[in-house]
Amino acid sequence: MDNDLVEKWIDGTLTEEEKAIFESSGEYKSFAKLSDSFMAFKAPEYDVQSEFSRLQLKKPSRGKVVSLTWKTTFFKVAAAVTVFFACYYFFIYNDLSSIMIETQAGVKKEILLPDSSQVVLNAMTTLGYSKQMKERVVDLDGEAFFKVKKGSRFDVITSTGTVRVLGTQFNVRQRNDYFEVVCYEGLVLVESKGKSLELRPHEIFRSIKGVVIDGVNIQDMAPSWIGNESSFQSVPFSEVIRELEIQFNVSVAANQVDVTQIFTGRFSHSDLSLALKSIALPLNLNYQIKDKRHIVLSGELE
Amino acid sequence: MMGGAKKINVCGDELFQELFKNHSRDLYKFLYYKYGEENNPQDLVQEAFIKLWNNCDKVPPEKARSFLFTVANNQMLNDLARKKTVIKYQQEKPKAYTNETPEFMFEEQEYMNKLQKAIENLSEPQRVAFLLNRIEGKKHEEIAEMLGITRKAVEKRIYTALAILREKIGLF
Repeated sequence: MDNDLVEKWIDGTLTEEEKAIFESSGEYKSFAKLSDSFMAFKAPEYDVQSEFSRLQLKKPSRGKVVSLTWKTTFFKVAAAVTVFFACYYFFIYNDLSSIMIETQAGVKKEILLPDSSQVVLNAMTTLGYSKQMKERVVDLDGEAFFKVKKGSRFDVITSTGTVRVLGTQFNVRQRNDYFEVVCYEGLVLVESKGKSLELRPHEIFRSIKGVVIDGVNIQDMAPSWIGNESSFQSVPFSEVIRELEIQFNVSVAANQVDVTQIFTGRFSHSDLSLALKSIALPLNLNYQIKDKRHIVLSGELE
Repeated sequence: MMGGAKKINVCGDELFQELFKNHSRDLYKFLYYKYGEENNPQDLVQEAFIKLWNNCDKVPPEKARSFLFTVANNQMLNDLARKKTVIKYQQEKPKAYTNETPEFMFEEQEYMNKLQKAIENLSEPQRVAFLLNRIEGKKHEEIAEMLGITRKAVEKRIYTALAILREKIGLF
């Protein structure tokens, strides 16, 4: 059998003449049979219409989908941005990223700030600062002694004023309406109620009920409370009582005592009755320890 | 006008339906001969068209056909759990006449079994090209386009397939 003819037959390119030759050949019958037999292997009929209907159910619907896709993208971006800013503010500005340190009555605490500055907190004091401390700013309520590491601006913010320094040692005391800053080293800038004042070593800025009191100097190298002793120089007696209450965690009732009188002196934090003696005797006051938590100071000697 | 250069794609519903009408049957046949009934060629067609639908903005109409064939082919290649391809002859071949002798029917059965065995012996590319040509009457050119190969390669596959069948069946 001529391969050429078979191939042409396969190809369907036989001429009439060739076709006649091919069909008259002995093998034609088996070729025809083979060709017919293949039909049994034919793929099942494909129903385009019903398959298309099936596809319509399966394929994701469009039309509004285009705008929806756009909106989805928009909302995705918006959500991402929101989350970013939420996190940003959360970590940078939120209180949760800042650290609050509190001391109870009668407790002092020494801490090291992230910028290596040292702070000693007196009793009943709260100090707040951010974890990173990218800006050297701390919030203070109470009394603390600062040894600021030299560097950029360091601010201590209190409810009655701000203390701004570069690198120095100073004490800040802010108790209700009493505000006092003592500079021990370097230069301190105090801003309070619109006024600002530069303090050199051993100078004191003191304001009571918003009134600035001038002309007080000290010779100490560090606040006395660091050494477990409270010392006062020309301070209203009410402040002395408050400090006593804070250091010993007691409440003091003053009967017929002029608490506005100016007091200069000191008391130790180690023993309550000794401390009471230290402040009562100079003013001719009588004291009575009612129980562990209550003290009565009276103006009349027995 | 330069402004009218809006890209034509296949996202339109009408155009998409047109594409389905024109190509789904060929795609089905191709997948059937390539992978057999066992591998659900109908579902593969559906999946290929869904892929086209999802990527409609990237496919110009003239590229749709080759996109469909490529996608359908790749889908199957990814499917590692693919079943062995068997192209079966239809058992219930409708007969117009019934006056066949048992011998004839037996011989017929034998012949079909032989043919099936012979087809199974073809390689996949040979089988696809040969059956598309012999059964579906596709021209060499069309097959070449469907498979993404040259016309010469198609012819080679068909003739090799024919030679193998001739040898196996022994009638030639």
